[in-house]
Amino acid sequence: MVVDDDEKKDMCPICKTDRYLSPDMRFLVNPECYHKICESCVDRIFSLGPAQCPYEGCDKILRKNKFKTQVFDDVKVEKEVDIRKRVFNVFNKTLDDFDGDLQAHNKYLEEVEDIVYNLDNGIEVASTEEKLRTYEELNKQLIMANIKRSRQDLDSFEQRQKFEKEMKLKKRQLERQIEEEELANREWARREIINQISTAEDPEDVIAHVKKTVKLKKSSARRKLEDLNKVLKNNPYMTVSNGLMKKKDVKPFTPFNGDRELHKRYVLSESHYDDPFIKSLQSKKEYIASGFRADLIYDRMLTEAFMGLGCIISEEMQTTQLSSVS
Amino acid sequence: MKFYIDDLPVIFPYPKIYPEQYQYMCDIKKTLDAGGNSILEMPSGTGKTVSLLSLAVAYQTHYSEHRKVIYCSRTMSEIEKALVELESLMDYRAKELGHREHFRGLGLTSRKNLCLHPKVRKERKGTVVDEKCRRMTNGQQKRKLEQDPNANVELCDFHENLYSMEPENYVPVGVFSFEKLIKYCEERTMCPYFTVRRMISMCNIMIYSYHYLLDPKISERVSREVSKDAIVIFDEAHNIDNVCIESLSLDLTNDVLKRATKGANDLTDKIHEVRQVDSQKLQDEYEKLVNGLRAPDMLDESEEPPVESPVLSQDLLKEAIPGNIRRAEHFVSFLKRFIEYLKTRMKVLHVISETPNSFLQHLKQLTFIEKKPLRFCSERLSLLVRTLEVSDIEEFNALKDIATFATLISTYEDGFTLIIEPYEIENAAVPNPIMRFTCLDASIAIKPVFEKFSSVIITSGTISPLDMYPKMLDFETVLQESYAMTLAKKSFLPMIVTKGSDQVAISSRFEIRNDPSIVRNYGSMLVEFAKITPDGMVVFFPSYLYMESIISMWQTMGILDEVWKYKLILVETPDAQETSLALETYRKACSNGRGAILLSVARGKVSEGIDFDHHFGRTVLMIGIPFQYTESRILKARLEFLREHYQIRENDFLSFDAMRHAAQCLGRVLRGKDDYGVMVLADRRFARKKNQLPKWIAQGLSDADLNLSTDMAIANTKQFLRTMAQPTDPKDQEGVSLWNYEQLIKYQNEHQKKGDGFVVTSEEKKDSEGDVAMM
Repeated sequence: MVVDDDEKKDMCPICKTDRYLSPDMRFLVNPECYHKICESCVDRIFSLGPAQCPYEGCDKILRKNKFKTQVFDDVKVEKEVDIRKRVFNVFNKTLDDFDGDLQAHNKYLEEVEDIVYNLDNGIEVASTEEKLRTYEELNKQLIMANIKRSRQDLDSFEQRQKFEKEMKLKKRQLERQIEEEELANREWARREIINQISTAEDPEDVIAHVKKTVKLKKSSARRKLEDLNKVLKNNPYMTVSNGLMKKKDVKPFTPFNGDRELHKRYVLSESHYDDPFIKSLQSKKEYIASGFRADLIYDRMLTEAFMGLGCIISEEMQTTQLSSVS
Repeated sequence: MKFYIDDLPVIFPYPKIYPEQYQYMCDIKKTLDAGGNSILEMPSGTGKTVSLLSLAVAYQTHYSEHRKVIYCSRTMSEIEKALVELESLMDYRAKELGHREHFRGLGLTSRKNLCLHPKVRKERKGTVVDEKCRRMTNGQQKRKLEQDPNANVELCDFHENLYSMEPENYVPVGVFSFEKLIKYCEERTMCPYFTVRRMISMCNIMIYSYHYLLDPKISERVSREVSKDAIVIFDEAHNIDNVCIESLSLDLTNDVLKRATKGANDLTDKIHEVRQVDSQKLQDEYEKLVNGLRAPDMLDESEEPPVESPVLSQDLLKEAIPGNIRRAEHFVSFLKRFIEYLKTRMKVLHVISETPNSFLQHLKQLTFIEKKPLRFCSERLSLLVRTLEVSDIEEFNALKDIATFATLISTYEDGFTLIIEPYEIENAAVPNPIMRFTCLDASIAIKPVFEKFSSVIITSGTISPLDMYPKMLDFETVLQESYAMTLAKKSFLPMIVTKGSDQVAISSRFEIRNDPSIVRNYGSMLVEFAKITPDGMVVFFPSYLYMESIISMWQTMGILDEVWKYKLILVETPDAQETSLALETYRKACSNGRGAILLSVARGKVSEGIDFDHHFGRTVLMIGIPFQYTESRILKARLEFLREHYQIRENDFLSFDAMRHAAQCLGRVLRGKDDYGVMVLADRRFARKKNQLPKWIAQGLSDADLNLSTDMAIANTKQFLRTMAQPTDPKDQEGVSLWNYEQLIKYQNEHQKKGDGFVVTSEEKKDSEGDVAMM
């Protein structure tokens, strides 16, 4: 274990046992008061049911099943993380829940941080707890969904790591195999050349021939490696993580750079158009009520008329190809 | 002398020029014309620096673009040497042209080397000097003083005096070496460091260390103003990949974490204090953050942030600081949580190596720290420290490391790895954990340099094989060239010794290196060479560990007693001061009496940057191949990365790395054309590595010398030394390895006749090789 300068750390304050006497001693804490007690003391004091914390001046009643090992050395941090766990189980919105509104998200993050800070430092605990509860009630569904989502993320992350590790190992193995085979081939070629030269007439010929056969010997391992590389390329997990990037690449070709022409080739000026049919519709109540607007009609007609003008598909095909190549 | 390369008039400060210098200049010019990168290997001791500088200056003054020159070297002494060289070049130019040109050349080095402040300069640690200087000069103190003339603040007079002057008038036009600059500034009570810093944009040529371009912590501030068309030259660049990697790597120890905890607690106290005294200040900062202001918006133009951003500027996130670390209290608790988490990770009992991603995932599960606020950690700390005016340097530095670590690990994924080693050395009983965040990809740090500048020239005496660097650093070259050395007579004798006198193969391979027969064979070789070498002799070992074990075995075998009859023995140690003492004694012993032997290590201080010219080194003996310690986790990770991403095989890289260090050691003894020396590579495995040596060494290594035994090598050496003892006529060199003006013109004319002069260069080189072989 890490040697620490203060010896107190390794001594149980209740029974005064230290690590020197019992090397495999473990310390436990209870999230009620975070007082450190050694395992045997916990067994001794709390096995008969809830009891008062043995620390002097601490009147918290503790239960054995709540005791846990301390993750962090610093008790304050341990406490804060416990609080955080509780708060974040409720306040678990992510940036996606704000539709990418960074400012709102930041504000939300700060609020959550305030809640944690208040709980941790005992400022307005009651009202903060109240806030927590009301939020939980109000957003039950969202919370559940987010918990599910984060669990899924975690799972897929782990799966992906496992997959990548496996693939790496396989690749390494194959590469080693190839290297070994190459070495063996070279050795074989050397011996073969010597063997054949002893009988053949033209040594140059023999050497060329043997070298050619070696070249033709494409090992099965190499083929496997190629297959593996292909699998790695269309790695299913890679697409999960880089989904956005990948999608852009595979999208089918469309003219107008994606169905949308940003620069209109016409100007809409309603006053110039005179269509008695539409004008009459404009005054009818039943049309207006359902959202009829004349300018939309004109706009649509003009769009239809100009559709496809100035769009040279062969050029656009070229540019997209170029960009995909580069 | 003055001559033309194509249409470019070059003024060269010597009456004669080496053929390889001319070739070298031609190639540099070609690179600059083509506008690309190049790798050039120029033999050591053939006036590389002066040819580089004279061409660069000529190029700059002649063409109308007036492209600036940035010359990067490795150590302070090398920078100083280059500055002195430049100074004499400019003097010569003035004499030649009849007037002084309007030309500024300055060098930059750390505050530690330049500081003049009576108290600060006494500090021993460079980081402390930096911090103290920053406190006094960053403008905050000054503002305080202006508001309240009685405030208890200390300002640096040397820095304050600069305000009364225009940056153009800090120092007069001309070239200033560090010595001259410090003297000039001392007389006028000016700060040399800031003088140079503020004049960078006015300089025609800047000379500084690689770090000012490669390390993102400083490059952003120092080298930002350099224009895009500048010519960047990396000299002595054979270790440039390691510099790149170091600039993005960081180690944390328990001690750092402990101090960081203390620093974080101090921050809490300080925040508490400030809240009571002047809560407006924190509120101001907070509101600025809410409005989405970032550090650059909040700092004054000339003010330096207390914590530099450790990531490359293009990898910075361009958005507001996330909400959960905006309030000072929140941020400190965030830091504390992160430190505590790191502490728990330090408690491992076996080595762990993981990717940044899995580290972040685990971190999130345990402490609910997200990736994004981590990325802003160093910037946020910088702002907070500025607001609070923290003065404790020691603990603050630890916190800075933590923040840097946080920012790095959350910014970079590919090409980085985190390694936690619980024990310092193998089989140690007491754990001393260390957490290393290592960059594996040398190309990341250097990428902005290649992107920004159109011509980057990488050069060194030993940079073979040339095609390894473009692969590792991921760039393309327009020119790769390795120059042979033209010599009037063969003045150095490289040999590969593979067997001892008793025909037993010698090798420093780990399994057999402590074999008595091998140790004895190395020992007898040492004795034999000690007998016949005049004056100084340098011996290199692959590692300190091996050196110690072999020396103790030699002692019991009585070999050292034998050596003592002929030479004094001195040993390099990891301690810098001890080593410099040993070096001094060595030089003294070489200058008087029978000379000395220096036992040193191939990757140590002696092997890089210390010259053993003339009688200081007549023989260099390389015992074993200086491979890296292959069990090192970092090396393993790097090898794996290189294989996967750049298709460089493990063995290729290891052997490349070993050979560049071996070549670097060999190059120590030959520092000029009138110098001579014997180079012995003593390991069986060297026999197959001839083609990995730099061209100029390989050129002198005849096939007969590839597989010698000790006695044959001794016989060769005796003969070689006898020829060297013959008086030489300096006239022999002329026309072959030394050109005067007429010979240069003759050469140029010949080549013009043949059409394109440059195509024939390889043929020309063959000719000169032939000359050497014949002599």
